[in-house]
Amino acid sequence: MKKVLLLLTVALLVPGLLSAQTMGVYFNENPGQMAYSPTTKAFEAQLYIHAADYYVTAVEYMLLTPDDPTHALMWLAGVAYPDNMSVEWGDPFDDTVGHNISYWPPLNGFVPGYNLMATYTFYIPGPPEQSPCHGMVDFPIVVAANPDSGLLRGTYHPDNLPFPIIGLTSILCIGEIAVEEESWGAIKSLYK
Amino acid sequence: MFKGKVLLFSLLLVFATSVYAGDVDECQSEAGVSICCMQISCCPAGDFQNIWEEGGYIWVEVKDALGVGIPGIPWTDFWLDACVPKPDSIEVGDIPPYMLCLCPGAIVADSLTNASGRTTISGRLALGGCVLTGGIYIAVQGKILEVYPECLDYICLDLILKSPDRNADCYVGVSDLVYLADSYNEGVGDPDYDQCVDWNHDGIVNISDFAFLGAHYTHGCF
Repeated sequence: MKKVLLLLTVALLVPGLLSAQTMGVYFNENPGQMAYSPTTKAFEAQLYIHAADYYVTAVEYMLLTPDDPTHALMWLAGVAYPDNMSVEWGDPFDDTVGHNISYWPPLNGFVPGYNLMATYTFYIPGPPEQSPCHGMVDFPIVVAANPDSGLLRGTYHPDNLPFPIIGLTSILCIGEIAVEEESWGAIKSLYK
Repeated sequence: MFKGKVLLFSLLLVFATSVYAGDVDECQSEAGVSICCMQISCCPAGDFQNIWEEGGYIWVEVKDALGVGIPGIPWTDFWLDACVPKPDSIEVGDIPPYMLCLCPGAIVADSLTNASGRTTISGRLALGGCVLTGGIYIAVQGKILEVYPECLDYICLDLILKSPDRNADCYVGVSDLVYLADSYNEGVGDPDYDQCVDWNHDGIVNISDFAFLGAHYTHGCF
C-alpha cells in the first residue's frame, strides 16, 4: 500500500514539476543549451521563459553569479529587449532592486513555448591574450528571486495576477575531466 | 423641391425636440452611484477599467426647474471633475491625490436620458490623475449638479479614481514610473504606500501594478 501511495505521489508530482514555468539563460552559440565556453571576451546570452502557458505581461528577477558576487570576473555590458518590451527598470545584477521587465502586447507563452525576454551582452575583462575562461571553471549564472520582492515571478494577461517561476542555472566555462588513453587489458588487470 | 422641404422639416423637428427638452436645472437634477466605494482605474486613452467591472454604475437624473425629467439628453453632454479644487500652484513632484487630467470625451453616458431624464454611466473614463478623497462631481450641459434644496454644494460622488498617469499630465510616461518605483512592494499601512498607483486595488503595489503600467505606457489622450 505504501509503495502504491509512493508511486502515485511521484506519478502526480513529476508531471507538475516538468510543466512548471522556468526561466533560464541560454547561449547564442549553442541555441537551447545552458552550458557554454566562450571563445571571445564579449558574448551574448538570452533570457528565455519556457512553458509559460500564459500570456506573460511582466517578470521580476535577478541574475546571480555565486562564484563572482561582486561581478569582477564578468561584467554585464548591455541588455537588449524584444520589440514588445514596454517598460523595464533596474538591472539584472542589481542586488537591491533586481530587474523588472513588462511586455505589451504580452508574450505568447503557449506558442512556441520558449519566449525571448532579454538578450545580454557579457564581457570578461582581462589581457587580450588571456583565454576568456581564465580563472573561471564551471561558472554558474543563476536566475534568482528579485531582491526587492524576494520572489521570482511573472504576471499574466488580463488581470496581471502573479505566477511563480522556477529559475534555472547556466554554466560558463565548462570544466573538463582529465583522461588518458589506456588499453582494455590494463584496465582489466586492475581488478584481478 | 419637395425633398428639400422634407429635409428642412426633419431638421426643424430635431432642433425643436432639443429645445423643447427644457433647460437643465443643476439643483433639481440628481446623481449618485449604485454601490459604495468603487475604485476605478482609468487611462487617458480610455482603455482601462470599465465602471461596471466594479459591479456598479453612476446614475444621473436630469431635470428642469420644475423637477420634470428631461429626455433625450445626448450621451456626450456629461462631464466630471474632482470636487476638491485644484491648488493654485503645485511643487514639482508633489501631485496631490485629488487632481485629474481630463481628455476629450472623458465621460460618455450609456444612452440618451429616458423619459424620466435618467441615464447611467458604466463604461471607461478617459482621464489621468488620482482622486482618493472628496469625490467627483457630474456636470450636464455645462452645469455642475448641486445638492438639493440648498443648492450651495456640488453633489460629490463617492468614487475613487486612479490612473497610470499618476501626475495628471494626460500622458503615461517615465514621470509616472517614478511614482510606482517609490511605492514598489509597499502595502496598506506602509509609509510609502501610494494608493494612487495600486491599480488593481489589492492593497499592495507590486509586479501586477508594474504590468498595468507597462500595458498603458506612452498612452495619452486620443
